[in-house]
Amino acid sequence: MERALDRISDDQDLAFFGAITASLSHQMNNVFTIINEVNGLLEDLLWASDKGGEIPPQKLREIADKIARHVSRGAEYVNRLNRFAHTTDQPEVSTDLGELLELAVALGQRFATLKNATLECQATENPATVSTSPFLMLQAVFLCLDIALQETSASPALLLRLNATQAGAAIVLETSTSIPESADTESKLRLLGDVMSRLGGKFSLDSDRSSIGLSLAAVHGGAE
Amino acid sequence: MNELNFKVLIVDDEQDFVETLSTRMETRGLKVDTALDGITAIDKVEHKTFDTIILDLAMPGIDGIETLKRMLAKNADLQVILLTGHATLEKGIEAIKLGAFDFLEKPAPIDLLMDKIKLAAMKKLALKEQRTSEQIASIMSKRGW
Repeated sequence: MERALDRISDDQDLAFFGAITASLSHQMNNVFTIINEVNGLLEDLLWASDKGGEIPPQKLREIADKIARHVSRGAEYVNRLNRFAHTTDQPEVSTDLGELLELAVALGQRFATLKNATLECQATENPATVSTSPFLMLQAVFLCLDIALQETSASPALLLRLNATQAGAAIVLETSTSIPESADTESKLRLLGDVMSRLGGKFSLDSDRSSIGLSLAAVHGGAE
Repeated sequence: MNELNFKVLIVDDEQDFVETLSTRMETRGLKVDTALDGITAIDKVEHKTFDTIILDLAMPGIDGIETLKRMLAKNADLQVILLTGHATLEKGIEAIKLGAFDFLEKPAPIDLLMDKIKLAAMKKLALKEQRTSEQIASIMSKRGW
């Protein structure tokens, strides 16, 4: 039974890892597509130049700017992929929850945008570090995002914030709409419960279903 | 067929991609219009005529599949070429079953895109000629000619 439960956890972890890496690879492919097209335009201009036409310097500058902009964008996606991949380095490590939330928002933007939602992180003044699995914490946050993004008739505004004291930390996801009641939601809340249990924490859904809280104990370096 | 008469609509949420591809197609003799989202594209298709539509699969709001469905509901003769990322070939196949003319993986070489556009425009012309023949036959039949 225990091994069967381990396999279910492994499947969930793998599915989460696959979803994030697929999203980032899609974004990187978009960057390469644009750079490819801009390179093609440069080739078209060079071909015209070979036939006796002139290439306006301003046009070359625009092309150079576009390439630089999208290389920078691509480098950011690679950076996010790298940071996400390294969350699996150790099962438990001292984790800055503020930085983790920033990574969650960066990784989650595309998912939110595709559902016409906005996703922001409220900056925390108090640093909060906890000994935990950053991979599982991200998975828990993403489960909250997935649950909140089910409501697609409106365009939800999502806000992630961190409440940290010496007694414990809570990550809260607030939505401007309401989390729907459905079999799908209940199934995802069960998954969330499993992940939080593995983290030694718990989740809570507020009575008007407009926010989900993730509670962890033992904050190090946090201020009251 | 004269490519200079081909009208193409490019639909993609990446502005730099749309602008650059548009420029390259215009230098090859096409008349190009653009849309950055599905809703705008559907509106343009309602008010203008296009020989071919190049449509991105993954877009915010309504995605490429939903945009395709709504476009074809307004005009079943539209020839739509879908652009898809590597991980969405399955959706590309779904789109063909829904009535898309073809699908290509990004990044797509412009020569291949141009060939597909020509084929799609020829198919549209063939469909138009068929409709005209059917209308003429119907009129002749009603008048007993």
